[in-house]
Amino acid sequence: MMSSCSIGPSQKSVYNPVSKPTSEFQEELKYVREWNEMLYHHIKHQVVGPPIAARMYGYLGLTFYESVVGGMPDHYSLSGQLNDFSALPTTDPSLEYDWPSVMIEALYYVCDELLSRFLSGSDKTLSGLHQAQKADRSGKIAPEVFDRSLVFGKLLSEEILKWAATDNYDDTRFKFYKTPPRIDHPEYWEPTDFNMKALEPFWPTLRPFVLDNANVCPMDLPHPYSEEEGSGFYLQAKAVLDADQNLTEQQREDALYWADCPGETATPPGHWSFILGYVSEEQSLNLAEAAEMYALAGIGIADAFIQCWYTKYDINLVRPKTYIREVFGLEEWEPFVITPPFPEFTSGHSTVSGCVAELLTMHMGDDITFTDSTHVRIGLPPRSFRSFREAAQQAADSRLYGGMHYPMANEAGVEQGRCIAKQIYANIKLKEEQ
Amino acid sequence: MKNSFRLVSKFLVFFIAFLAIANQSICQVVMRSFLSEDRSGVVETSVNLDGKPLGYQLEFLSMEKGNFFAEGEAIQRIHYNLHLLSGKEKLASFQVSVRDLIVTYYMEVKVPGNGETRTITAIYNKTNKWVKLKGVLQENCRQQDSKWGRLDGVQSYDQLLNFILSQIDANLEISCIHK
Repeated sequence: MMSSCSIGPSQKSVYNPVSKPTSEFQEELKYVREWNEMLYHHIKHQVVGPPIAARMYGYLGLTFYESVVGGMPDHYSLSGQLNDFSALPTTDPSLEYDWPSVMIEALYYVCDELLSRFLSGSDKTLSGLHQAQKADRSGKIAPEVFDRSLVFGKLLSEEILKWAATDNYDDTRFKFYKTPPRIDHPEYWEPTDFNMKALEPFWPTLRPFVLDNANVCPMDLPHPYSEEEGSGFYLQAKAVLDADQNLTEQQREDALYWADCPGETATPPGHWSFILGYVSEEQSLNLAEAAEMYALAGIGIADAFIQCWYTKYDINLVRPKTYIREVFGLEEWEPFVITPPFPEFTSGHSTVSGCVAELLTMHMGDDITFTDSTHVRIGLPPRSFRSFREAAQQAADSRLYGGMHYPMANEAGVEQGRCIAKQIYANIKLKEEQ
Repeated sequence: MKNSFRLVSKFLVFFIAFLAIANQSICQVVMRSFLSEDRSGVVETSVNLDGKPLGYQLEFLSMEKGNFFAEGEAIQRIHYNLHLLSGKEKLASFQVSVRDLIVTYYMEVKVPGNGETRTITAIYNKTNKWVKLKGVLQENCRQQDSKWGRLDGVQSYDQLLNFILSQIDANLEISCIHK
């Protein structure tokens, strides 16, 4: 059953020549879209925070890719290319497999495990979708191929989940974090509202998918903390206040569009994952092309949050809300969008957006236009973009309009995201001509 | 003895669950049924009316709904007209829309004037029960000492609407709006 063809020390072809190539499937992308929507729905309704959502989308993208890469000639498995990720089962090259069936099975088990902490045992939405997809697929292929594919999909999911279980996520659930006191350190972050505590302070201890460690792309604070009028830092805070007091209608809409708050949406990772769905449709991508995109973006999302959270808790910078109240004496000042419960620098949304946009641009080009309808469900109209970078820049700028970030955190976030993307793209190879 | 203990334990579990559910329903400020109703109220001491009462009517117009995979039917936006009144005289009317999300309630009030439309946004956090407003209005539509505020510990939908309207009154020069 197990076989593989080694190309180099880290890249491995798992091509199965007797099965229908993955690139010949397109309609079957609906299965991925449905799992993506299911994940989005539960992340939103269970009010899952952005780092955990990022981890989920990382494993979703990886699972999608690995379940169909066997049908992609000249492509490589990510087994052996990601940190400590080496043992994946491969297909029997003399037997036929149906890649969409492999994918349905693998995505179900992986999503089920990722969401298990958040859903009650009686929740039937995941198993319901799994059964519906299997019923839809089973009539279209030979029973023995279908059964064999399901078995392989489950094996694959088990190995991916074994790897996921060692990423240190579980350990971070049971640690106690004491927010460093601000006495003698006015530059330190503190929660900006009642009923708020630091979100995921131990996230940097998670194993990245690709990055060597959690701080491969360090970012220095461009302006040291200062309360002196006219200092660089003071002017950063002044820029937040000025933006707030002169907010245009367009800026107001941008702030709300990219707010991506937990409990309203599936957070920035979910927003980008939905964008992948719209791009797949508009660009008429086949299953193989979509799998590349989801794998790269998923890995980028996951690693961007690990690196960004390292910087956040390392620098531990005060939010504009605190600074403006204390230094400008505006004791009741409120930012437009709710300030999230973690340190300011770098901006998480800017980092993840910069990273995903750069990865997709390197992989697909800088002229991919798309319309994003993610937030139609929450009453916000679709938006069209001329490129991934344009969307990322708008997301970054929106954090200034929302009053949650200084401009320098957004600029550094995008830069950090690009750096992470370049690291990822240089260290994994999906196909020969990449 | 063991059976009695089990019985008491079961009763306690049910009783605590009942209290939790009852408490939650009492504390819920934005009930779904409220959103399709007309509402009215009074800002007792209006800035615009030199301390006299300012009446308001929130007139329900329609709900925009959509069907989404995994989500089912979702209400995207709820549309209203907001009328401001001095006694029975209508002072101004505004288009209002609401987005009622899981943890947040957004109300957007469109303010026409000077050939453009600006938006006042009220954001109510359902978990922590606070509401705050923001809006950059046309220059001639701003009250002197315009300052948007926040209210903690919102206890009822009427209180929420009253605070929103009192903030609009404190920040908007109503006379700049066409009736």
